[in-house]
Amino acid sequence: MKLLKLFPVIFLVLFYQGCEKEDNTVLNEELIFRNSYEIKIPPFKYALLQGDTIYVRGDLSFNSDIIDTVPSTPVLSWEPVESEIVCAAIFKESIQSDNHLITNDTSDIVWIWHSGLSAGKNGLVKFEQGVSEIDPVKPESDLRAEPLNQGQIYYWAVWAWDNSGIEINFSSRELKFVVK
Amino acid sequence: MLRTLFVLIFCIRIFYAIGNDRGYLLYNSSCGIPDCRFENDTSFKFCINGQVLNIFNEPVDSIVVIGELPDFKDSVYSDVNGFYKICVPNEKSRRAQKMMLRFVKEDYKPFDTTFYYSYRDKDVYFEVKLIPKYKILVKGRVLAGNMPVENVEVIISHNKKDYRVKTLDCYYDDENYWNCLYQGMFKHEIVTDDPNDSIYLYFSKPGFRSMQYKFRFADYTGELVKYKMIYADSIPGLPDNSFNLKLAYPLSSESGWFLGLSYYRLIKTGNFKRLAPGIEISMVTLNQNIDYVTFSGLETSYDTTYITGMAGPSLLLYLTKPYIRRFCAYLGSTFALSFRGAESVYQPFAGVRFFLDMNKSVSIDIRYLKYSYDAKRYRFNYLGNADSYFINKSDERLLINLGLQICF
Repeated sequence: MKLLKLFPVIFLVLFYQGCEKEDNTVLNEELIFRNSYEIKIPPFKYALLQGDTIYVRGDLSFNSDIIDTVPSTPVLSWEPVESEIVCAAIFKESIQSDNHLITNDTSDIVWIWHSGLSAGKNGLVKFEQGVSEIDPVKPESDLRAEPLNQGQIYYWAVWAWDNSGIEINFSSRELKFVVK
Repeated sequence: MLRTLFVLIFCIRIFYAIGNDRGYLLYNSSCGIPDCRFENDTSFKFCINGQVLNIFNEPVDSIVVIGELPDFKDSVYSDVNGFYKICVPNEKSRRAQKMMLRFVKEDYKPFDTTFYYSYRDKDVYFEVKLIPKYKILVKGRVLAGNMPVENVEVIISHNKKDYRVKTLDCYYDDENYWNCLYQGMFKHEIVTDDPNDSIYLYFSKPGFRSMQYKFRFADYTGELVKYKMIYADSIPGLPDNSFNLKLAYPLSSESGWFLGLSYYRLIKTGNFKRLAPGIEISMVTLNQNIDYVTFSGLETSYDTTYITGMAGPSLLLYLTKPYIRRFCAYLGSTFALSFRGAESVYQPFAGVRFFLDMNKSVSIDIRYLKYSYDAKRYRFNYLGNADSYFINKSDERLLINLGLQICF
């Protein structure tokens, strides 16, 4: 009989659907999504066709008074992350986020690349490999991004989802550069 | 001549009377026991002392020693050392008396002897050696499957004598622990003269088929013999209440676990006792893999598990007599309300049950289940976490439930 009394308890313990609690653990406040793991952007350099070499300080330039200078079709690089769904974008305004979503107007995005595009790879993307906007209807060729305006400051970041594409798992700091 | 004869007889009686007194003095001095004379009796006692041994020279206690004269009978028991003393009257009027001495105990062959004594005889010491009979301690344990069965009536029949014992139950021992060491066990001592005797064992208990075993006395090795009883085809005194646990394992790709707890009470309407109303509470899980489009060219999927609970009244109808042990078929239906949204869910089911023992059974049934639930879906957002929303979906399943039932 004691076992009989325990059955409802076991039943409730096993099958009680608890309240879903979102995981809001802050991992790094400097990231655009604070509760995500960091995508590191180490310093990198690349050579232009003219022979010039562009140095980008990456995470070292974060909160620095000195802004990296890049050409109008810059190259973006970061440490590859373990995710199938990665996105990198250049904004003309500072990136605003509520930790779950970037709240900037989509018109602030002047260039975007994601891992679903045919060119570019997770960790290194040329400007030509990105597009100007996300439009699943239009082909990639119709979405070529215009070179960036000279003398203007732009902001960029990288973020990546879990493998199901539901939650942001990784993100970088917001970095900025000026186009020479 | 006749006169001379009377005188002679008178003289002889006087002589015996004098001898009697002498004899009394002799007894008194020889045995030294003050009660060598019966109370209110002028006659003497003749006492036989002795020891009863067995053929292994071991003293035998509790032997009944019977001294028997034609008109007198007395008996004593031998003590722990086998000693006995039995006294019989030794009337002076008799020259010699025929005495029969018997030594009787169940597990020894009886010993009888007869002898004559006269009032002149002194006490005698008489040692006997008895031959023990064959003796075994029949020990057994009654099982049903691998479970000991208590309170089984065991009739041990030997030489047209029946001895009834019952198998033991668990008990609280001296240290107040629940002790089941001897559960289902019985023992009985059997004594015989002939080792070729047959011993019959009859086992009976309500709910079990009666059994009979037979063995030869000489074949018993003294070991604990296990006897397996077989359940009868019906259960006597089946309790009206039952508690059920039902479980279904996911069989198809989009199904999940089912767990149900139910209580039924068998009611009697006239001579019809097959209807059992009750209540049921059940949970069903649904596992789904949803295709999900993120960026163009990047299609993924995610897994979701939905848990839906429902509870409500249930009705059970036994198609066969509910006390049948095997293949008791039933139909039933639960009219439940889901915990979320209070949506009515109708769950008809049909199955059979098999009793494992007197009150525990397993059941297998097929249940139809159709219910609706709020399915969570996601809409990809390339600027952050996906947006979630709910859509109403329904799940329809045919479940095969495995159940455990306890009647009480």
